[in-house]
Amino acid sequence: MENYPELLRSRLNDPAYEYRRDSFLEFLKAPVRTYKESPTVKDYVEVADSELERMIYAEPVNGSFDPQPDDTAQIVMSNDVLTRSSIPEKSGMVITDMATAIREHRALVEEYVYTNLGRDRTEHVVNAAWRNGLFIYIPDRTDISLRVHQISDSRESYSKKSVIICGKDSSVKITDIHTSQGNGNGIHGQNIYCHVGENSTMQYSYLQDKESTATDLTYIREFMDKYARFRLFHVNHGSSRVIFTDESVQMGESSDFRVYGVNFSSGTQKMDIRDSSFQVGTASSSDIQVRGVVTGKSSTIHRGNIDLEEVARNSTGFYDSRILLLSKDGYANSKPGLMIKNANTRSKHASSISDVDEDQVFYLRSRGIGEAQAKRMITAGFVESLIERGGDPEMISKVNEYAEGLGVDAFLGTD
Amino acid sequence: METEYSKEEEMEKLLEDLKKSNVRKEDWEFHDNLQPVYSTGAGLNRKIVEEISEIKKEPEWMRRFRLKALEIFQSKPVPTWGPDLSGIDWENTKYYTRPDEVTTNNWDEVPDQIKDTFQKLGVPEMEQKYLAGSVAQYDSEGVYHNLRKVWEDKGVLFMDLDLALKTYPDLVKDYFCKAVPPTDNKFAALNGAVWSGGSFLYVPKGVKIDMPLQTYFRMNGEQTGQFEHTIVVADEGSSVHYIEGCTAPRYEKNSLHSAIVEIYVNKNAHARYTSVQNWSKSVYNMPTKRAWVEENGQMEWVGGSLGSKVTMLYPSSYLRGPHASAHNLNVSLAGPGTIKDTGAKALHLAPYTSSRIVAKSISIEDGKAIYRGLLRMNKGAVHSKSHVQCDALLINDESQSFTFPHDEIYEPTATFGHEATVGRIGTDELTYLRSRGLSEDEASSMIVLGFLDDVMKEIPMEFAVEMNRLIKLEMNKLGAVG
Repeated sequence: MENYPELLRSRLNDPAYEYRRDSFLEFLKAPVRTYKESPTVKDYVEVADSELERMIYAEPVNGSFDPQPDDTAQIVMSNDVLTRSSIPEKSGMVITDMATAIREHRALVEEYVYTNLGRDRTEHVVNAAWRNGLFIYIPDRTDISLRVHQISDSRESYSKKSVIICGKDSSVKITDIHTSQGNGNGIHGQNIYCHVGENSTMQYSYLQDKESTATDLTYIREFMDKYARFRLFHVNHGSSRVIFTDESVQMGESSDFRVYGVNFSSGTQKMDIRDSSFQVGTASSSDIQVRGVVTGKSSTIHRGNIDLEEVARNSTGFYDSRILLLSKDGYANSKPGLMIKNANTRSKHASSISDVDEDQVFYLRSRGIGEAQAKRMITAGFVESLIERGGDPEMISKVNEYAEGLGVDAFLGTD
Repeated sequence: METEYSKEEEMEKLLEDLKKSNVRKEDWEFHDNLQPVYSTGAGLNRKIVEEISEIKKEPEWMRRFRLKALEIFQSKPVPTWGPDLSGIDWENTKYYTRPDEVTTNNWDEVPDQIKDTFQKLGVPEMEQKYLAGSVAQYDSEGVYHNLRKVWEDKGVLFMDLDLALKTYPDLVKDYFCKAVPPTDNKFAALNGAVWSGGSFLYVPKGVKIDMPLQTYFRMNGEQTGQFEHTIVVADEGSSVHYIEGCTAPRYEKNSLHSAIVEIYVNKNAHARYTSVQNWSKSVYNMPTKRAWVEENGQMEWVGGSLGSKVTMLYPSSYLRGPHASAHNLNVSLAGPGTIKDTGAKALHLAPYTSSRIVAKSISIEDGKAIYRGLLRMNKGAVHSKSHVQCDALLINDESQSFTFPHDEIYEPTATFGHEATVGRIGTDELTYLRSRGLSEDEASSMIVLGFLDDVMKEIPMEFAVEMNRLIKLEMNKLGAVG
């Protein structure tokens, strides 16, 4: 890690050099995250600096990589290379990779990319070391739906930075599927920054289903102008370790931020899922609802802060976390937080952790359904009810598939 | 003796009380010009700790214990994860101050000046009216203790801890610092090194005391510390209600209160601990309170954190036996310029245990109320249940509230729920009450008291009225109530 400045110097011709350098300085200054409040747990998902180093240097691996992208995807990224972009031509729209955007769309990059260094230590390091990423610009008054498939090589470690910019009075739906191929313990870091312009709506559906050997570190940050609306549907299913962070930055008045998240952890997976809102604009609102299903020897923690700043008058914030802890060897934690610095606001959080409701199981069993199947049905209803609130149909069917696919051993009882 | 609770009557009574009350903050914040008969002076070192032990003529094991605790205290850093504690002047705090040589069970023998102080605070009046026994502590030492004969005859022990250590050394040794060892945190280690006073209450098997017992703590000196250590033991099948009240004068320089409260609730026993803390705004209040609850035992914490500059208080219940339960109710009031970092911890270590935590906070002006809690269900705590609720009310625009719960569930058959709300007095509610003929002030006070209702009805009537008066005092300055 200490040699990284040398590497940066070798990239003096990189137009993003100053941004990378500032991000790296932020990384050096940022404290190492620990969960010191707990007497026994150091941190829920531990990623050592030596592993971050692998991600920073992104050394290539031996062997070929033959990605199999989804046929329906209009945009395909294989590792960090944009391999397909078949979008109907719209005036002013830009869909490219970050390396190209830096060269060809300097004004946009200066305005939207170089201005945000992030807030978390790992996020800083991704901002310093990203190799490439996706760059999408949707101009004012544009309606569009995009399907993206990003395939990673599980053996390789690297980081990506993607930026999605949506102008004023536009409506954008993006479905972004992240999978991986190969068998390796690669570390994949990515920052996805979404900018939603005045009076625009963005719906971003994120699904991560990588190989169970990879590590996924994802930071999604939503920058919202006044009257902007953002809907995030996120599903985490794959990877051995997942740190998923999503935080709004609601500077604009009356911006509306909604999150519906579902996380399945199984086997020995560890998931640290953080969904937060940072509200500065007046009359802004946030509503975050997250569900977790824990099976096997896995663990999940849901964290979420509602942060209402002094000037965010007449704002509201709501965070709700529910986790089904289905296995006797798994564990689940929640750490919701309210940081309210203004009295002219309303906020609330709620969290619950429990097994499947026995009354519901009893009802289904009295209808002739076996115990494991009954629990499976209840679990499916528990997670699908959330994603069905406008989520992408493919995502809904995936969530259903994950819930229905929970093995008998996932439950305490059996048929 | 139980009084049937009527919400309407209570509300009416409290509102009347608020209107008539002319009590002032100075009623608690006066100080006596009393010269202590002994003080170790400012600062803390090995010599001072040995001196305290020497003065108290303690057994050798206690002297060694104090010195070990001092080492732990010196090795631990000041916690930085909570409020700013840089205002604590470790060097210039007086860690031990003895007001007088007398400790007595006869009120007439208490030195006049100290007696006057407690009379102003209404302590003897309360004892006569409704207490089974009481202990009064002034600075570092207990000055008075009394227990009604009926309970004494049944084997109940209630006295200050120094006296208990002399009279029942083995019994004290069995419980001293078992639930809160000095290694627990810096302030517990400090208490271990310099503790003085506090109460020792032992309720024998099967004895159910139907009247509360009270200890009143008064800190008089400037830049002093009070480090009392209280042990409550409810033996098998017994029942007890123990109350603590605390006040101090206001000074320019900060004082430190770092107490330990250990409660042992044995099989089938029931203990209720009520404390109303009204330290002045120059006091850093850092107590560590913990209960060990055995099989089928019930622990209830009822607390009002009203005073102090900074309070960090998280009463904990370790549910060690099957079917043990804990109930925690807490009200904290963060007045102007103060920080209340309060909460609760419940650790479920056995099957079929249950806990319920209700925390209410009110922030006034730039007061900052923080809820910080830990709920942990260990593997094997099968079919355990817990519910945590924390509500915050913000009175002014600049008031702040933070909520940091930590929930750790390692047992799949356990059920856990948590909810928190933060808001201010709604205009709809105010308009409704005003349309019924109440003034804005009356309406505001009614909403505030309604917000606190869950906790108020669990507190003995006299304390509920006192707490309401204290809340009113804080809000009165803003013209919000009264």
